[in-house]
Amino acid sequence: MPKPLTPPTIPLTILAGFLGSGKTTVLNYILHNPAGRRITAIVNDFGALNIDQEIIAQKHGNQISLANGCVCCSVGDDLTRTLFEILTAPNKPDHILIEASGVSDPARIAAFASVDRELRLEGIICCIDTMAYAKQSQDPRLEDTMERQINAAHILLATKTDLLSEADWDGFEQIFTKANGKRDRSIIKCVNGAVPAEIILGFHQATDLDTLSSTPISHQFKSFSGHLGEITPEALHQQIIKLEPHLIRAKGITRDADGPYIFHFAGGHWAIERNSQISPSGHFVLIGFENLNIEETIFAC
Amino acid sequence: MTTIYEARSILTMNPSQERATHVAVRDGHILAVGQKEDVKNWEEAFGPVEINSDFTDKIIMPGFVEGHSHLMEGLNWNFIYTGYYDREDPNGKIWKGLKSIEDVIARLKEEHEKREDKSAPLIAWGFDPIFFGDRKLNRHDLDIVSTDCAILLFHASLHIINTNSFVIDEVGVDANDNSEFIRRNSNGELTGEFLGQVGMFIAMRATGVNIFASFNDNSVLENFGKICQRAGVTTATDLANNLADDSVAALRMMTDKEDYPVRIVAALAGNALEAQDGIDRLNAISDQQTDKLRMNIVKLIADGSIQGFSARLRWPYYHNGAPNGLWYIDVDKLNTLIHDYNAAGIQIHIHTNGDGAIDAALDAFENALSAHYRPNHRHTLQHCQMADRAHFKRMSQLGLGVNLFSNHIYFWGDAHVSTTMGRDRANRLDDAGGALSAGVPLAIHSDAPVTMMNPLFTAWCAVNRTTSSGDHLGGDIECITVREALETITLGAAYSLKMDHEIGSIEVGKRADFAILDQDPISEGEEKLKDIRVHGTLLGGKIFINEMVS
Repeated sequence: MPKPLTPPTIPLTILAGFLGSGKTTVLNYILHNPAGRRITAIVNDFGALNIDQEIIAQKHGNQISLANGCVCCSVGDDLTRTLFEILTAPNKPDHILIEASGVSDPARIAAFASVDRELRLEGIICCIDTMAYAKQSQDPRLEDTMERQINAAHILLATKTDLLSEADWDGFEQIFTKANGKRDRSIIKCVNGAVPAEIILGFHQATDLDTLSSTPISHQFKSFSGHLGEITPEALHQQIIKLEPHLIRAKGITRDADGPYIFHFAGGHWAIERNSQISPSGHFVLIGFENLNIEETIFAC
Repeated sequence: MTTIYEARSILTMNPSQERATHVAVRDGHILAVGQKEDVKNWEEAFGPVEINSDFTDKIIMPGFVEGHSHLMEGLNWNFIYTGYYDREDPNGKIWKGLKSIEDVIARLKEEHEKREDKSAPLIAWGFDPIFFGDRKLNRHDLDIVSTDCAILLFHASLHIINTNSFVIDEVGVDANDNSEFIRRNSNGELTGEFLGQVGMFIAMRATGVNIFASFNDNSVLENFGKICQRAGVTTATDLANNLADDSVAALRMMTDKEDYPVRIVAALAGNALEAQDGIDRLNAISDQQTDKLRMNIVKLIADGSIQGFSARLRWPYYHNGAPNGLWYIDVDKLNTLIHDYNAAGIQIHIHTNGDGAIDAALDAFENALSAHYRPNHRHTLQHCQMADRAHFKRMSQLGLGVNLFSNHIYFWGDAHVSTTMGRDRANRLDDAGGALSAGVPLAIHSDAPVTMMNPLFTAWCAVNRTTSSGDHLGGDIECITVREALETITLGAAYSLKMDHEIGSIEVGKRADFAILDQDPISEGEEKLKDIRVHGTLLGGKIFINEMVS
């Protein structure tokens, strides 16, 4: 089990994928649809980001502030320094989103969250260009980098799927499975970067838990919410594992003998936060694919 | 005023006049070279001359040119040196190499005790555990030094850091995380060792300051200048620099001083920029250049380091089975940048260590030069340590130069044989002989602070190809002669910076930049090249004498 973190922590999402894989499009969509969060996004290059002029509030040096409270920082030559500066600035964001460079190993960037008590890894999202995948995965200059990105990812976004016929998609799935073996998580289809904020950023603070219902947020997904009784993180994790690979994300607040805790789950990544101040409402919410079935788990009651 | 310097011998590096005894200097430039009567003849045209006899027992050479170094060498001397090899600091004090972890702890303790503010972070550099076998440094070792301040011990590569328990508690490291970048011992306990970016991040978070934000401090540039002077270097590179307004201002402020002892060539760090932004930046600062400050090159980085297993190798990859290194830049973006800078007529220096990265760079240059032929482009592959003869032939065809990291042969040659690439590929490591026989313009370098700046030592490495254990990499065919090696650290490096028409040899009209040596590198012979003492330098005719330090 991971060591419990002490809230408040700043959730960190890493958006990985090759140059041209659709990362910037996803990022752009999230910045325009942040679902109430003040996100600070660390991006490779402003130029590639196509932010609507009308939502830009201010441009200053390597930073663009948006009217909705989000901020974009260009990484310049040093991601480490940029992240350090964001964490030491007086006004901390609700969420940090790092756009990894096309060749980086996102696990390296995720390690930032492991060495800083203020940060909590919310997940590594990897974009895969379905049109280019077959070629890229055969290119000796690219294949190992791609493999590392896919292995590190908690959530996979298959981009440009609108350009694929059904047969093309089947072909993609086939080579993908062959190259990556049987994976314990599925792939989300993504067109023009449109993915619900909950998928990329996880659930917002406790308020989200009350407002999210089990109405489908998109035809691709299904969500459930409800209440949990007292349970240890270990036992809870066993229950969550039963839902894989159809579960994408889960979050909730419950308690065990040691007191209340918040749990977060994203495609195999598991984190808990403990603080006696938390009100242990027992609320939980799950998002998964259409075939997510919670019967025979504690989430069903 | 004209000054005539009289020397025991002047080794000009000008093939038309190999040797002289006198050189006349006027207005910072070389007026005449030859025997006393040859140079005195200029009295008629220019009036009385002054004879300087300070160097009658010395050898004068062209000032050395360090074609690949970093201002960080100057920054590091604000911290404690803990390397395995002896190293001279900017004031000429020799810091003894530390031969065990216990020696490292003892030095840290000694330096800590000397400090007034014992709660300030204690920062050290140059640590290289490759020499200590199975004995690993852990946080408890550093806790012996202090548990009341942050201790940050940077490895020689700068990509790994060791910390004490204070740092781990301070930043809140997750003891259960199984990230491969957070080292643990066999019992799963944190050792305090962190790899990659996360190490640098911890250093910033534990100290609350960005230690590496202070490149523009006077102390950094002063230290760097002194290091150059002591090594006989009169032109040195900073590969690379962000060349932001404050950086340019700091470089100008220092190099404008008459008593600053070195010319600096700073290259723009190009990986994170779009080509057009880089081109615009270089154009915008071009009028800030002076005789002592050049900013007209872009530096790109294709891969990492071989000993850090982050270089990009071709099949069969690393000898010990380590996964191949990651690209430091997307190959498509590399192609675009090389194309665009070449098209704009800007000289490119590119860091390529592994043979896979060299392949990618050569492909990119072939495309770029096919699209836009640029005579005299002088694009240069930096490090280029695993280049084979086919690579050198291709470089020759493309008109590319190479700047080899010859110091690696000595410092990591044994590790390359045993661990990174095996004997067969290590034989051709930094193959200066291969470059010259293919007609590729050649320079050699230290990459200071990765290794010490001392061009005569670098030349010794290229001539002898001896490792620190006394092994030899390859045969005679990879070795170059002393004369060839001396050319690489003068004219060769100057050529790579498009400065060989103004520096790099002692010829009429060139700048009066000299290295003044106690012994003659040619007659001392190949074994003793590294032991020659630098007495001082002349930069544009101004004398800088190295103080003797006991």
